[in-house]
Amino acid sequence: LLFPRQGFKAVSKFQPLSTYQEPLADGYQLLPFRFTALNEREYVLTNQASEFVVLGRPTLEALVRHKLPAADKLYNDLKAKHFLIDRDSSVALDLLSLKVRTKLQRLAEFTGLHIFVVSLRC
Amino acid sequence: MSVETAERALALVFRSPSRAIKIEFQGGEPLLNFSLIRFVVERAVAINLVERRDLQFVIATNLALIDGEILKFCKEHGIFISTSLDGPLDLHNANRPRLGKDSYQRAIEGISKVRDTLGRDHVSALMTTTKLSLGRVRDIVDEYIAQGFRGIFLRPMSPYGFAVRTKWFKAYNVDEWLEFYFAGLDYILEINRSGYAFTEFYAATILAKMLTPFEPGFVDLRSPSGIGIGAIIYNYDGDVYASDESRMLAEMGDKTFRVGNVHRDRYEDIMLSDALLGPIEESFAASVPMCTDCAFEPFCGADPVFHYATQGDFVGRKPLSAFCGRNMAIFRRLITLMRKDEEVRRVFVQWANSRC
Repeated sequence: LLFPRQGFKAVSKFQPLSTYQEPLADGYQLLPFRFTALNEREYVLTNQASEFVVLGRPTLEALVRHKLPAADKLYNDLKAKHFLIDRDSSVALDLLSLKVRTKLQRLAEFTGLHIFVVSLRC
Repeated sequence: MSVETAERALALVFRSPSRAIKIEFQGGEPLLNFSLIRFVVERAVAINLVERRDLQFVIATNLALIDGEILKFCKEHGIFISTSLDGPLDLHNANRPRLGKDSYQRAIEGISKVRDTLGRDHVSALMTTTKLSLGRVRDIVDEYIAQGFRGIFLRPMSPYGFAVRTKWFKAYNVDEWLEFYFAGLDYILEINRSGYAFTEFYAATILAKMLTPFEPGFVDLRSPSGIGIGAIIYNYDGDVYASDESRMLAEMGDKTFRVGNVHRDRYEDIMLSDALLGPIEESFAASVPMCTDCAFEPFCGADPVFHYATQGDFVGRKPLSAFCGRNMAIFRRLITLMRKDEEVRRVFVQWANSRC
């Protein structure tokens, strides 16, 4: 019998909301990214793993000044795509490096296409 | 190309560690030397009994010479056919003059013959954009749909070979080409909205970089550059070139990208030659001036041959680079399109994943 096992409560309670907000109280760190204007209002941000996100100028300014509130609707998007890390996401760096390795994996394969020019006549 | 040269080239092919090996026959018109194609295919298949790679063959041909015997051989070995189709009859024939003015007819009949024998998925077509194509992108896309293709690669004109001799390359600038390309992209999206799945392959390549964890490895849009380490050319005389464009440059008298010769050089000499490693290293986008700061660099690539051909060095000044101008505009357009319209985004996700 797998469930319920001894020592586990049959019904577990959710942690209070403050538990999930706690890591964010001491802010976030930026991971490497570049940005450029997409149009007069918006900017494209990209990182080494080719993840991208589009932000309005006020959000971009808040982000780079470490003032983007965790409640901002783009915060989790930026976190999921490894533009920032906070105390809640220690695995982010490993994930980012894994994604960069995945992008570069073709290099190890080396030359796949071999073209033979068998005749110059047309 | 002689049998001895082909034999030496094949020995080099299988020195590549790649699990997938694609051998493509080009010309001129490669079917004019079909006996050698037959030799290379049979020899490669024999070598592969031991090597056990994922081995594929492609013949890039105008189909004028395709016949029953050739088709039978292609079927036997699962050979793919890549041909040219520039658009409707008048456009295709104007681009590809033949004595009988029958280039289009021969291409269409050839495509149909190949499909009947080898299957629909065994023939693909490539188009070349010329001055005559501008303003006619809907006609071109319609022609591809009429011929039953499920996608098109809207290609820019390359600054090499025939294109330079005939001044076609200078005949239109980046903005003119972008206007052509974006009109084509809008039309193709309209077709997708109407319920017919049809892909623009260049966008699909870029979207694969933007929307999937994988790198599509398209030779003309990757960094480090794919010259030699993505694709390599064995010329008819045994000279080895770093890319198709390198060979065209050599035909114009500049052998900068000649990386060796199958009769004289070992695999190690070729792959470690300065002629190959120099341009790869110098043009690596992540460390090139301006590219290093560019937010679009992860989607872009290094093209040392293009920049050498147009500006005289492997890196080039990016504000003057047609490669840079063209790609930056496309990156911006693709992102803008998919942000504006959820349906476009869904189409783009499909394109991105169909390339991987």
